Amino acid sequence: MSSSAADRLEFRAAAVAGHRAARTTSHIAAVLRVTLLDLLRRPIVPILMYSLAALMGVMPFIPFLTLGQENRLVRDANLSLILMFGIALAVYAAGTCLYREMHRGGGELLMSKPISPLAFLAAKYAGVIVVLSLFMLAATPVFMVSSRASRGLVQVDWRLEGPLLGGLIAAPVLAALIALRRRRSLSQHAALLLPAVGIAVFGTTALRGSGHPLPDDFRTGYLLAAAAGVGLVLVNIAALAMTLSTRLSVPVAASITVLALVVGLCSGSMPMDGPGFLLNAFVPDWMNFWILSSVPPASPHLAPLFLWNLIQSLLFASALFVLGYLLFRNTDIVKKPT
Amino acid sequence: MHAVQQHASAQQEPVVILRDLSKVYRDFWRRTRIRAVQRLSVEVFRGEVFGLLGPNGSGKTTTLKMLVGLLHPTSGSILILGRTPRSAATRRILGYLPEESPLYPFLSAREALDFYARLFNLSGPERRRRVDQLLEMTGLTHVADRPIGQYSHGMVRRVGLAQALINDPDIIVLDEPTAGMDPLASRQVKDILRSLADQGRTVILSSHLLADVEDICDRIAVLYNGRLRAVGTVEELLVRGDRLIVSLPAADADLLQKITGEIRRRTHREPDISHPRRNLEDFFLDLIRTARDAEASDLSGAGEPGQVAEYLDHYAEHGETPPPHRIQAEKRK
Repeated sequence: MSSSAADRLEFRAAAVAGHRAARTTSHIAAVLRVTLLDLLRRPIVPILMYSLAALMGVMPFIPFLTLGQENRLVRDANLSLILMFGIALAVYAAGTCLYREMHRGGGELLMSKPISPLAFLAAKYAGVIVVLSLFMLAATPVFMVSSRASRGLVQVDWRLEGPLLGGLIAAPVLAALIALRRRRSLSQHAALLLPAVGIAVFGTTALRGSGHPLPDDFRTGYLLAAAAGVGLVLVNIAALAMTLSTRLSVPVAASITVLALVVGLCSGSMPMDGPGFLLNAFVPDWMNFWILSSVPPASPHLAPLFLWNLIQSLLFASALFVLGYLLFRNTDIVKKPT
Repeated sequence: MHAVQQHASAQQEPVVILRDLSKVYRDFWRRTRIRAVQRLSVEVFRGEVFGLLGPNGSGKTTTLKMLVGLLHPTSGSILILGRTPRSAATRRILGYLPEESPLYPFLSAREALDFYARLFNLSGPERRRRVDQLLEMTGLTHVADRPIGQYSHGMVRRVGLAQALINDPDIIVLDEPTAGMDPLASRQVKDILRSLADQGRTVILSSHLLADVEDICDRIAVLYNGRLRAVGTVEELLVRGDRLIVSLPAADADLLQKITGEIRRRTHREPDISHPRRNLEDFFLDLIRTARDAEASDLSGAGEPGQVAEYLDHYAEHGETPPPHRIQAEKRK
């Protein structure tokens, strides 16, 4: 063997050996950044975010049309909308971002560089979680302003609803202007601007108050806990879709994920003996997260229930990540149809 | 002079060893779908340009992907400087250009090269220096901040080549490196690869463009249906010992008749007489160079590639001088 080339190899290996953690962190950060840019430039991401926000923006008008008796329905419908749109985004983002990269995109180049499969996979999981966080950051303020505005009973509270609808229109216009000036993807700017605008609108309207006395189940903390519960469901769904996509094509991974979602929704109503027990052990009862919005606000069980949901979610997602790594580490990076 | 001659002593030691390498692609039910590579054994030496030649589906790309650790061999082994391709230490000294340059279309060339440099943990100033030099080397400096999605295929290939060299690699693996390039860019890429090999780097490339392979490779392996059919230097494989070409200045008919008559009398065979031809690539390049000299063109795409990047040029000096601890160890032996 050539001594000089071997020496260079040994020298380089020794030079980086002492900074393994820093190196891995730097790799994860670099891959996370491109994963995020890759996901955000896909038009489906802002389309889902804006459609959801727009639907929730007009929700407060329902009490107006139904003689003002359904303000609670607005809150629950908003949560359902977040869950449905969020599941679509989670399955799409998680199912495609790893599989497409491995078998169609830059994974071939990436995995020929000195990045470990673990760091690569962690960056992909983190990228999807950041996208879902942006989605929740956009959805939550709109959900809260929309739900609180519906407390205006027969009349919509324009002090809350006005800035919200204005912000929803202003965000894409601003994104288009920035994209035009920077000659970059409109989708990326739109997906990043909506959460910022949503938070700004919520900040200004919340400080001003709704003008109506709020019952407990419309207070900020309570609504936040319900939205966070839905966010945890989305993280679990995404982890499941991504783990399946380490070996399965996008349609198959998406189908199994949706099947698991349905089974999970059913598992709560099954008896806890025999197959029901096994089902409850392996597939989370997604309704558990949902129950948060049904617990009376003053109940002492609210905080422990949320904590239990959080722990269960983290455990489920972590187990899926470990399984994903075991499946991924020996996968061939080869061109496949998506 | 080719590196194969310059580095004659170093060449006796292989840097890449493939032993009985096989790859079988299986379907979901583990049934054999394709035997892409079958019992391939080849050694590649330091400082040579080694070409894998074969028609589509002959196993070239599969072999290269196993070499860089993207595919797992079904059986057999690969050693790169004594290590497996999957080890991070091996990947630090490898540069790889895949067949299709799967770069992120939303990044600019500068951002893409910076991203790949980060994966080698280069410091900020070092990254910037290398990126600038490689952009200059590949003639992309003036379009460096445009998204890659707006590049032509040839320009994308140049970015691909630049990323393969970002880590100052010892071994460069290239799958169809000149695919999609115009003849001028293709010639420049071949010159860059030749000069890298002359500095002591090992270049392994695959191509089905026979002229490209003949042009720059020191040794060639010919694959067909996943099996090795021939391996050797270009001279060994292509020279016909039973024929001889004598090139003369243009001669009048009388002289020509005398020469052919003499050949016929001595060999009892009919000699072939024809005018030598340039190949189409040389003709095209001459034509373009003349046209370029005649009129200064306003290029909207890629510019003229520059010299090999400075840090790549310095390799020979650093790479061929063993560090002191190595020399002392040799002396002790």
